Amino acid sequence: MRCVHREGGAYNTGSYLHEELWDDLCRVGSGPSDEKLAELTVRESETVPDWMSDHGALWQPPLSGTLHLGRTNRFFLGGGKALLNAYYRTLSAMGVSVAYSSSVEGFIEQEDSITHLVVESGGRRCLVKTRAVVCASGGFEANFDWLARYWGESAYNYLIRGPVYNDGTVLSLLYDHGAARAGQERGFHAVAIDARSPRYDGGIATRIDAIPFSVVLNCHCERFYDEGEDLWPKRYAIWGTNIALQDNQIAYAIWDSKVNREFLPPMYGPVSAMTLSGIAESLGLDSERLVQTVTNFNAAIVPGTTFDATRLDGARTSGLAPEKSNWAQRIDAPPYYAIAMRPGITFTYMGVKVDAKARVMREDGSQFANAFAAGEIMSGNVLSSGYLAGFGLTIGTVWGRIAGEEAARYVNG
Amino acid sequence: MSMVEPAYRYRGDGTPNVLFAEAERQLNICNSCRYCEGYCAVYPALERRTVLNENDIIFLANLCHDCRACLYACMYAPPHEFGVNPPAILAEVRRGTYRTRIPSPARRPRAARRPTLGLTPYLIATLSLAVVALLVAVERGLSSLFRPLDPAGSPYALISYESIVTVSLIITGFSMIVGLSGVVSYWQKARGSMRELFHLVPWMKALRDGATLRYLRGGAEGCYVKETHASPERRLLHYFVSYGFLLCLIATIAAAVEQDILSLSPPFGLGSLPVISGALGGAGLIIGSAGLLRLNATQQVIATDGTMTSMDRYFLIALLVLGATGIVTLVARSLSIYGLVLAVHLSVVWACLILAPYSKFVHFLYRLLALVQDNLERADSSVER
Ligand code: SF4
Ligand code: SF4
Repeated sequence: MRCVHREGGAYNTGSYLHEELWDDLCRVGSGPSDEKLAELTVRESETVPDWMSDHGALWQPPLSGTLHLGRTNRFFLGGGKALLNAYYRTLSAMGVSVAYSSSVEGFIEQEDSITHLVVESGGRRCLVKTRAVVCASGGFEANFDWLARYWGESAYNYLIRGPVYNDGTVLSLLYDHGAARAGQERGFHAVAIDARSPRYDGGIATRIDAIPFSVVLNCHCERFYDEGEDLWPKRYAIWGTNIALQDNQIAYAIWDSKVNREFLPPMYGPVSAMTLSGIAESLGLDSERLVQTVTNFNAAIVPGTTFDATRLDGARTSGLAPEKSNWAQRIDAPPYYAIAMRPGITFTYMGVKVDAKARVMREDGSQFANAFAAGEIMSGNVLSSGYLAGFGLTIGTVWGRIAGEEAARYVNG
Repeated sequence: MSMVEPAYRYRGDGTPNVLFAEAERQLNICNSCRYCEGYCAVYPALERRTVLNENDIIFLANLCHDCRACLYACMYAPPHEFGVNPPAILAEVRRGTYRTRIPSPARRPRAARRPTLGLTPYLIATLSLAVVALLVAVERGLSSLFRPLDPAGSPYALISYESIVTVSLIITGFSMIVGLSGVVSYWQKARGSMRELFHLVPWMKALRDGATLRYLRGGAEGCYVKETHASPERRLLHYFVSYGFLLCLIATIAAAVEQDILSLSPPFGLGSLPVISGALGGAGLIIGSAGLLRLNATQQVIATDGTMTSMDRYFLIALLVLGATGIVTLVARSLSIYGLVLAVHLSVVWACLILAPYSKFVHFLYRLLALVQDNLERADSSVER
């Protein structure tokens, strides 16, 4: 996660000050949605790591697989599930009971307050009386019908990287009760993932890192975006949308044996063949067109530059639309490899509007008295498009803490 | 979440191909994920590779100390359809390492070999008892098993010094040859160069990490016996077992030194090094192995390989018996049953010595080798950089 810290230490390689995080935030997508709330997030981020440690979180020193984020970001030992397990253990030590495998299916509202939740648990429905509610139920990315409202039929070809539970039930309940929107309806984070991934919950392991070393074609065997625009960590988050905008929401990366060891092999393994037409056949693409595109690409490579995977090497094409501006090499050394990719949606931005106490706001400017929101369901208040690595976790933790404290304050009067 | 039956099997005696293919599938997922790289040496070692072969997988399996932190941190653990479960699959692979060197006249294909030793341990124990009884019968008469010995507490009043030493040396020699041949063949496959095995620096780090059981820390909190519970308990109990065993070894060596070099013959006084270290060591073995047996009985089946669990159980029971008979021998010195007690302890010791290279006992050898290999690789990759 990405937090302000004045000095480096065991878990960060150097300092990352308030102004720098703020500047980074301003450069993301369309910038902060609500400057006041975004500034609050940045400010509060500084004290969040200690709070997390106090509640069981463990950290690890920055290591290799961290996309060179060792200065700005902090990493939990064992990833997100380990963090949640630690929180659940802390909860149970504090005597808080947790209803696992349960879902909120509705609520009753009286005079600005949510008085009861309709909870489904183990096949039974029951009413749970509430004094305060914190909605931290994520986005709506696992709800294809909802995505289709903004993306059309193509949404049904997306894959969802997280669990099937992010179906937006609570979000839509809040809208039904007049909650105001924050964030863009088409705002989401999507990366290129293996087209063979499961529809839900493929997580991080299905992502494809081959793109900078490949040519990427759509289903008409046309290139459509500069594969070598920038270093991969800076560009990988745009490829989900790139592919989502192609016909059939699919794209194919093709590379050859020269670069096959430059990146991690896809978890299901690539398709391989000794000829390009063999590749076309395995992918179900028009062989003539595919070979033509690759031949054109090979012919357009500007001679005289040396390939260097570790930096912007300037090895580029000339005369193509679009060009490939780095790591362009002839694709001519069999065996050839390829992989089909689809957009994998990580999270959505559209959620509910909140005030500085995390209270859910209504369209008419009033607030729910006892409903608070935290995490992805309100992240649109801070950012409504684009992506800043690790900042989603910061939003979740900062606002989780605010919402929890305010809910407790409300209940205790 | 879709509840597709995970391809991974929790138990069974799958052929090596299925096993390695499955291990490779899971490790490839880990290599794309890398969330666990802070837990142990396995993940950084995995990240040094983009393609895995069989020897890589064997190496990673032996580098794994089975703390299970990764399983419980894993979003792909069962019931997720990816069914990632490193401690279980690596235990299954590791079990193969412990098994491949049983010299048998007609080498059966690996898959057909029994996963455990079956009745062999009992046969060996019986045989060992028979040898002891025979020696007693021939040398001192069986009746000496049931009367106080003179001098009290001296083993040589039961069996002659020459016989004990001869049999012990033969068995030890045999076990060391089997054990070392396993070590050599492992290393040849893993690294090729035998010369590297004698580099000092990687060994020092490996011995330090091995002696402190660094990778039984599960990152920070300790091993996981259950999903909800990480604690240093398993590592502490393991200290008891390993250092208990070491003390017993010291007791034996000290006894030999006192006798053969200082010409003091047993029985040794209560304050002597052999007696003190033997007593402490025996107690450590009992506390540690009993504790681990109890802990293993409560572990979640999903987290490990069933056959490995029974190997562990055999091994721990053997150590428990070893420690217990040793302690009884110590306290029963002047009693009339001392002869019998001693005979039992001696046969247990001999049986354990023979079985050691075929049992879980060898795990520390391969873990150490894997740690040495890991240190060599780290040095290689920092040179490359
Ligand atoms: S065990 Fe799971 S969480 Fe850990 S690296 Fe492997 S796939 Fe990732
Ligand atoms: S069980 Fe522990 S030692 Fe083994 S791979 Fe997982 S984290 Fe590493």
